[in-house]
Amino acid sequence: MPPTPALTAQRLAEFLAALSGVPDGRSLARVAAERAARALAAEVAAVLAADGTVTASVGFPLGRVPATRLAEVAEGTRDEVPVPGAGVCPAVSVPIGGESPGHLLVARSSGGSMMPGWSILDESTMDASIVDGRFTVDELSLVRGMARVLELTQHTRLTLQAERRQAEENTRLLRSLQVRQRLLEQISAVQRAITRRAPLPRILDTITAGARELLGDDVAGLRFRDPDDPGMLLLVSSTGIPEEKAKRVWRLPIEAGGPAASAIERDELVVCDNPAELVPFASSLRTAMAAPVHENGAVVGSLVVGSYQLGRRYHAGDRELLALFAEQVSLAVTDAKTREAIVAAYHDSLTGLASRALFLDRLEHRLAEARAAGAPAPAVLFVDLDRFKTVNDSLGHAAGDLLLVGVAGRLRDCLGPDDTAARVGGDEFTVLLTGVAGPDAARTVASRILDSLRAAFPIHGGEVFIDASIGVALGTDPGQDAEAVVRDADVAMYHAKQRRTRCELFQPAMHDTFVRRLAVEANLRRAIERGEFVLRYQPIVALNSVAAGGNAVTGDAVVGLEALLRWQHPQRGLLEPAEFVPIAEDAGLIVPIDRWVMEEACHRAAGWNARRPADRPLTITVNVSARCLQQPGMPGVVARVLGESGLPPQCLVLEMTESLLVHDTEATVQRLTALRAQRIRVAIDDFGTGYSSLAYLRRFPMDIIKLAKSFVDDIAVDPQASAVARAIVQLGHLLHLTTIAEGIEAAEQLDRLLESGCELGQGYYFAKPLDPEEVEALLFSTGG
Amino acid sequence: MDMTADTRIASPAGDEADSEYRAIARRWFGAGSARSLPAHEAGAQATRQALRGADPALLVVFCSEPLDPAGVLAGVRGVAGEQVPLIGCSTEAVITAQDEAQGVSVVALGGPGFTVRTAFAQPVSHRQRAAGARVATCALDLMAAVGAADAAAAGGATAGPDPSAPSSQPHQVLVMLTDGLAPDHEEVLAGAYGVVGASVPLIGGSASPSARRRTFHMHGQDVLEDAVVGAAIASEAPFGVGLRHGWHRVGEPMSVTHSVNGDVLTLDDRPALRTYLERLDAPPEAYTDPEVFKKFANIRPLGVDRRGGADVRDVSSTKYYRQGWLSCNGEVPEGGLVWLMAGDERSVLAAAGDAVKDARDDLDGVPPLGFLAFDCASRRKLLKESGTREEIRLMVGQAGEAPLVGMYTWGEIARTRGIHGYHNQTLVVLAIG
Repeated sequence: MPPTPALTAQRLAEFLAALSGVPDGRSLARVAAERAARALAAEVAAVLAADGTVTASVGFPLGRVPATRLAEVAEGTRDEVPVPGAGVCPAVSVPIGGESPGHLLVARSSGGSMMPGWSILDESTMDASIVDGRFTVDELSLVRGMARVLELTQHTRLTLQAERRQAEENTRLLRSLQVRQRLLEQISAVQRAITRRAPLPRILDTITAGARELLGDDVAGLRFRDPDDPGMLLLVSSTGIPEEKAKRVWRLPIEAGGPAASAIERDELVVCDNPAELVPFASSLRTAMAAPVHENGAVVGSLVVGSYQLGRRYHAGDRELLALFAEQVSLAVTDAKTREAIVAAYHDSLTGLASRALFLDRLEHRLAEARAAGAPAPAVLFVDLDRFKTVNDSLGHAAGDLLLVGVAGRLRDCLGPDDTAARVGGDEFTVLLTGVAGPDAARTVASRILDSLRAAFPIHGGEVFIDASIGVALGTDPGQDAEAVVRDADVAMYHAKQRRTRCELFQPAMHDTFVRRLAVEANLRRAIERGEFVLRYQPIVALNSVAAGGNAVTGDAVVGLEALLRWQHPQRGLLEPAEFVPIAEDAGLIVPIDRWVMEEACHRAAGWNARRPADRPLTITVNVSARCLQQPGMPGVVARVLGESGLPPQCLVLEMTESLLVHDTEATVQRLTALRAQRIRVAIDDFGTGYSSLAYLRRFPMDIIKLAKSFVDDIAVDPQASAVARAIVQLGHLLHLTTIAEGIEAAEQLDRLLESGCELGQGYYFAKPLDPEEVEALLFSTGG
Repeated sequence: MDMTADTRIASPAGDEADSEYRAIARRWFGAGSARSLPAHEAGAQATRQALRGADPALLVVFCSEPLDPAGVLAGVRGVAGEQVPLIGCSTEAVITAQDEAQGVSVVALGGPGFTVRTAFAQPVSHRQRAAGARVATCALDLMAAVGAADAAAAGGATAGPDPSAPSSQPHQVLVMLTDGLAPDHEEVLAGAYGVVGASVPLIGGSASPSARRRTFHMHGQDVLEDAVVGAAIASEAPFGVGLRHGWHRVGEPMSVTHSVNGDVLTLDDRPALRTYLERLDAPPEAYTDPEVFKKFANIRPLGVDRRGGADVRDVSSTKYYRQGWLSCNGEVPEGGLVWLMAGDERSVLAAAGDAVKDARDDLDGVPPLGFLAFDCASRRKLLKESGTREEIRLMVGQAGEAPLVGMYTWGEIARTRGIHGYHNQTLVVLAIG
């Protein structure tokens, strides 16, 4: 038999081997107690905690562990414990150190042999302790050894647990770092896209895809409120959603928006695990999470992710991740809107040309640079399109926009890389020319622009022709700022438009003219308010009712009156239309003036007709401006005036020049038709002198053609003029049009006109334009 | 009539030739057997023989013939009634005074001074500890029942038990029958010990397969497989336990360098099986032929070092023969020491009578009512037929006039001191006083 120290070592080895395989701390104490009892062939063994509580024990019936007695043994105040079935047993306790201090206690029955019957065969190997049960020195050493092994095993287990936890923590950390690395890469990609001004849709797709990838979910989408209808949500980006499904759910009412709508309405991250609410997006979604997206602090949409997986839970880390991606969307959207605002602030949204603000800013810089370097001053061209409004009104605003875009393109083509073109008004453009040597170089560019703009613009399958007027100004005056230079160019442009020279270089005198014009404009506005306009009426007579050889006109011969506008200027006296009507047209004042003329003339005529026999009413002829004819509501206005004045419509003649008929022909025909439907008559003034085309005689509804004064002037001395006049009169007869000859000033003219069959005429031969009192005297004093 | 003297009383059945019985005026222990009868009739006959008095407290049935155990149980119940606590199991052979290895044996005890509680657990496989704990709860129930009865007797029906008061039935034992085909019997015992601790001796054995080559257990009205059954017996008279095996250590010990429960992989850091055979100078065929090895190892157990002796372990199992490991029922702790154990027919036979004598002596002079014997089946193989008959003769001779009945087991249970209780190649005898 091996010596007892070897037995002790053997028992310890058994004990250690048994404890090594124990998986957890709770089982460790129980196994230690059992193994200690086995090693010492004892009935009882126990592991006590430092406070004396029994962690594990073996040898007592269930629920009958004498904890107090065992604690006393551990304290050293007792060395035996009563054990049911074994009597009072000697007990020994040794401390356990380490992280879980306590005691290891063993109690063993005394008296008799361990195993009945063995003593006969094993006397030689039997210890005396077997007889009395007391623990030998070696057994005490064994118990101490087991306590130490238990301590070391606990320490090892705790260390392994800590290492396992650390390893798990490291794994978690590594995983977290990997996730964060991927997150960083995704965010960096998004930031790069934003910085590089990638198209917003691409940025949003990058964010959506990144969110889906990092969260490991099945679908991701981005919904924005419909800017046109905030009650609807638009799917602006998605991934993982089948294309057909995405199209079907592209636009949803907010009530059916599920978590996306909730996040928007509540402005907070929401999680939805009710599959019924997720059906609109993907029918098999189990759960979804949505975070709000902001633009300049206001909620505009939400970023949504969803999963088909049962049991998918969105933990705090997932929520933070989605919130971060939603923030990226917010940044991208805000940035895009900011850029849009910046672009909008400094560029014209239609043409892409610089805005007025940007143009002035650049002009200021160029002026400063030139002045500082002593270099030639930059030049400014002010380009105004002619008849743009006609095109806009006749072909529609879409066509007008296309025209403007086309003009902008041609401007760019005429400029150098350092030049700037801007759109500063509806049909007004400015050009900044740098590096021009002087006015001639600027004029050259202006000519190039004019030539370019004269070419046809293909609009809606047709061709549109426009022209332009350009004013040129140089920033040579060191005291001028950018605004002043542009103003000078504008004045020069106005001058060019007035003189129809197409291009003018600014001269200081123009400024005075412009100032005067502005004054006239201002006075015109006041004239309307103050009633400074007056009408003169020139009688229209039946030529065959005038006594032969005489020019005396009686009231009976007067069949009508033409109303002629005059301005009773407080300083300048009575002004003819030529002195203010163009200004009124440019200033947009002609329409109210025309209306006043019509009202005044109709009222006067109605009053005079009330004093005449009913079978011989006077007609009143009112000149209509192009602007007035272009008003879509013009027939209605005329009808109202007639109604208010009481003048029968057949007594009203609206006179217009041939040139008015050339533009916006369809609309013009419609208005003329509407007017004639009211039995108002239409007269064409200066027939044969303008864009005369016999074709439009058939097309345009008219009643009267007025033979131009220029034809009447030479009718008596020029056979050709006489022949033309006769032809016109006969043409009128053939077309059942009344002919009125204008500007009759001599008897011979009257005779020729009578010979040609002209029915009516007017001119100084019969009467000058009369004021209302003179008209009354004419009409009623002679029995008319 | 002198109640404590051995008084032979005529069997109520008048059948003195086929049964041995012994009855004290009040308490009694009876044994019966039957052979070559149909199952129901065998159970009935053996029970009729065993019931030697009134108030049977416990029936224990051992069945070795290829009989339907349900039929046997029905026959037992048909005679004893439905209420008597009953445990039983299969065995490859029964131990009776009539030297009849095959048959049905029924043990009955009864009369005043006995209280019995039984329990079973099923399945046992993969939950041995829990099964042992479950069965041991009947011992707690028993203690409570005895305590309640004592309290009622002392203070009336409403009085509670007084742990400090002496018990009317202070002697208790838990008889356990485990399944010899299930592994890790030590875990079953550990589970039981975890419940009862040292308060109750554990006695019994593992059921060995009957002629049907399967094990079964009986409890109450049921036949069970993969089970363990137990009967906790409280008695006013003592119990005695004898345990002998007849083996002794030889040579130097070997270190168990790697083992898992009862499977020994290496001894002294070398393959266990080869090391074992080399130490015993085994014939060459034992290294290559598992049947030769089995026969060789059957009478050459190992002894696990214990305080004051060695637990015997039968390592003749060929379960891991091809892996070169030794395997046995019962723990061989890693890190411990094992001895080669030697013995022969003489020492094994001597152990048989000594075991019964030890059990009888353990009664402290109280005459035994009867003996229950749990004998390792490997001892039967070693002794062979003639030796087995001699063993039984020696046992019965020591039993005197008290009936002795038992079974051959595949592992024996005897825990009276300390924590260890599982044995191999051992004879365990329980004397009922």
